[in-house]
Amino acid sequence: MHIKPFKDFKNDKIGVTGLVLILLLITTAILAPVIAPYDPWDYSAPAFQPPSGEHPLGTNDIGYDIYSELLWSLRTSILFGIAVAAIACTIGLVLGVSAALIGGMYDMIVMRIADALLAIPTIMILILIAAYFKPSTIVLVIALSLVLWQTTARGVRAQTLSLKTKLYVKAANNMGAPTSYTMHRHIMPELFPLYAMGFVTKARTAVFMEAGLSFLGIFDPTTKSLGIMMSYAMRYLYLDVWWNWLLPPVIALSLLIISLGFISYAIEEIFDPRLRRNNATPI
Amino acid sequence: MPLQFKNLNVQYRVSGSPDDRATALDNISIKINEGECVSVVGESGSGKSTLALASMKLLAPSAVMTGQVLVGGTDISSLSDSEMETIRWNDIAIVFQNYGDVLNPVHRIIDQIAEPLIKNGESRSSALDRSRRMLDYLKIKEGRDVLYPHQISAGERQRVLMAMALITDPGILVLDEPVASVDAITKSHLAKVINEQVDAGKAVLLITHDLSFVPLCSCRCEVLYFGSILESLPSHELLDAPRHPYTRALVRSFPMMERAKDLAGVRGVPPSMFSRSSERSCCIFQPRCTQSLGDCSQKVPQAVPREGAGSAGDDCGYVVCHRGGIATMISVKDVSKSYKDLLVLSDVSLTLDEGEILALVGETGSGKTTLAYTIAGTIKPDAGEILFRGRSVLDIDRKEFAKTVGIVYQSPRDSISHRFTVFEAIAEPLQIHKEFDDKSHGRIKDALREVQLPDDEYFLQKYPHELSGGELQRVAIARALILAPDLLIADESTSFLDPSVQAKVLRLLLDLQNERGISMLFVTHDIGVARKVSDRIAVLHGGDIVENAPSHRVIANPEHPYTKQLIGVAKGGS
Repeated sequence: MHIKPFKDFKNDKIGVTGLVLILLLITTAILAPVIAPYDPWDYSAPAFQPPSGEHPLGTNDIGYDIYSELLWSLRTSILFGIAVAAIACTIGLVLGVSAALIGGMYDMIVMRIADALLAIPTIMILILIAAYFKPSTIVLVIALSLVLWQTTARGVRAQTLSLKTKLYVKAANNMGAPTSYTMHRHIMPELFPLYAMGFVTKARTAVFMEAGLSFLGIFDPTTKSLGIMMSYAMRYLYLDVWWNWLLPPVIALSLLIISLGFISYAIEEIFDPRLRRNNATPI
Repeated sequence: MPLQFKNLNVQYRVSGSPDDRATALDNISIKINEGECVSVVGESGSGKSTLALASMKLLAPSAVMTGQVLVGGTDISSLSDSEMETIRWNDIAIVFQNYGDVLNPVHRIIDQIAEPLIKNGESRSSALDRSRRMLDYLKIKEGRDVLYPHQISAGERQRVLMAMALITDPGILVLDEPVASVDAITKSHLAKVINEQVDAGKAVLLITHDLSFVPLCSCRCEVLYFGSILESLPSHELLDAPRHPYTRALVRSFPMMERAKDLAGVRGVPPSMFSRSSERSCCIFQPRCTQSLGDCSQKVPQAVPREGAGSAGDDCGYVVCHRGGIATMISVKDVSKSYKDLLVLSDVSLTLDEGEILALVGETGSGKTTLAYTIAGTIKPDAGEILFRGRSVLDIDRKEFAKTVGIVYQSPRDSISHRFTVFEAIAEPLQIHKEFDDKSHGRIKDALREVQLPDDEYFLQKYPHELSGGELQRVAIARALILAPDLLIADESTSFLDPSVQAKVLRLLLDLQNERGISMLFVTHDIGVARKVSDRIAVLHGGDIVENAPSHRVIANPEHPYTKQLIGVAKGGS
């Protein structure tokens, strides 16, 4: 069955909502240095100012502008999500395809590692790593990528194995096509839904994990992130600052995760024929 | 009395052709002994009738003849018209091709038959009496002898012409298409008459396009093409074992009773005799041949002894071909293949000729697909070897060899990627072989037209799921043929299609095979389909070839019990 993903996506209201949201969030994050009224790492007003014309969300315990902090934190979270998703998907794709094509001992080793990673709860590993080494953001990105590739690898491997036996791939081989040709013309495009899905879900997991780890305080305290903002806000809840200090990062994080969720839901529906609402496509 | 042509050349003076000559016969040498009948076959325009007329010195004034025509040892080319008069009808007689105007419309047929006898001084009553007996001998009903030519049927007119030739009892008989207008019963009677004349010691030159008539009454057959003899062979081998691609094409075009394969004419168009200059530098059949190589368009082929079906030492005639007659394209020698413990092919040997359609028939799991892909070079045999035009397939560069083999698969839905448009699907082989360029668009459109599909931009951008099974299989055929392969493998290519679409796709495959002159390996489990499409059927059973013979013979006289069962089941038995 032939699928036109972009056309189908355009017709999917949930997917489009998610996409519009994430584009808004990304634009905001990109424009943070321009639209943030103050330097979030610098004292701009007395501490605990309530929201006002000058400080839309007030100031925090050491007099930083919360609105500016929020914009910069969003930037960190999105970058973190994209970086982890890109690295984890690439690792998963390379390992999955190579395992399927090479097979044998190599395949077995790669797949056993993937199984082990699936069995061990990744958040525990990360908490341990973070607690012990107090890693920088880049190290944390790499660490998270290294424990998130397994689902993509497994899916890609299974799909590649099945594609290898497809008659049109064999036909191309019989026409004299080298492996590089079948890879780029037949296998890679067919794997697109897998890594599109993997990318979005991994970005979501990464954003969520980053927030969680920061909230727990195991994160580089000099960076700005939504989790760290929440963590600090929690300490001053008794001052009744929850609505202007705690709620904004919570809403931003929720919007980010919901938009990614919407997109992954739409992609899944487009590529999995069993989930399609309109099943009347010709076979 | 023997008739012999020695290095006979006949040219017609025609203005407008190269050197103002049109060659009708080129260096023809045929010897017909007493008590022998030699037939000459060929398409119209091949020079058959010119040969008949030359034997009687009846050629048109515009004809220029060189070489010798020996009638009983006398070279008639130097004889004057009055000397010829004495030879004609007495020593050599001709039965003209039966057109409406060969008999005199104002005389009764009996008078026309008796005319030469009366001219020779016989009494009228005895001449008429002998003529009447001759008509009786040729099975013309009593009372019809007094009719005029327009009152009798074409078949009867043919026999009247025959009677006119036989009445003077000449030593040499030249028959020009004697059975073209007669029914089958009369034909068999005429065959009997001719055989009796041969037994009586006459030399008979039989010119015909009815190939089934040739083995009935002649012992040798000359295949004439465009003024040259391409093959000379024993008549009984004409239908079963032709060795020249032209002879085979001619036989394939002829509706034989026992043969079920669809008829196909000789590919291409016959050359115009006006285009032929007297000096030639290539094989004349080369443009229409199924196996021409570089040499064929460079040099004139010489006659080589023919490999006949008879025992060694027999004169099996000769064949005029650079490649020594129909060449073998693929020969499979003792090939074995097993998957783990499962033996799929055991010591299989098989050949596939150039331009031949071979059907591999067998039940599922009999190893036919494995054999086909082993031949295509995509499966490596465990033992044995496969030669392609004399070279081992494994020695030929894999990519290079893939270009010479086109494959059409069982299910077009699976064999064409659902993400490819029609254009991309057909362009794929060109891209793989780095032949995709500015001209490819036109090439792809041509390919679509060839498989009878629309070639507009709208169709080119359609996806497989928008096409029907039959349309998609045509796209697959176009894809398989875009690189102009020498061998086409059809792996159950029509078994997914409904009967009507299957018939159309089969028709298309056969037409393309014939038009391109390529070899085809037709893998099928359906012996009924194999019977309709193939020249030869090889039956595979349990990894062995249990039967391998011309299709009509396999169907009519299956030898192996398995083949008998296959045919029995196909006919609706149990």
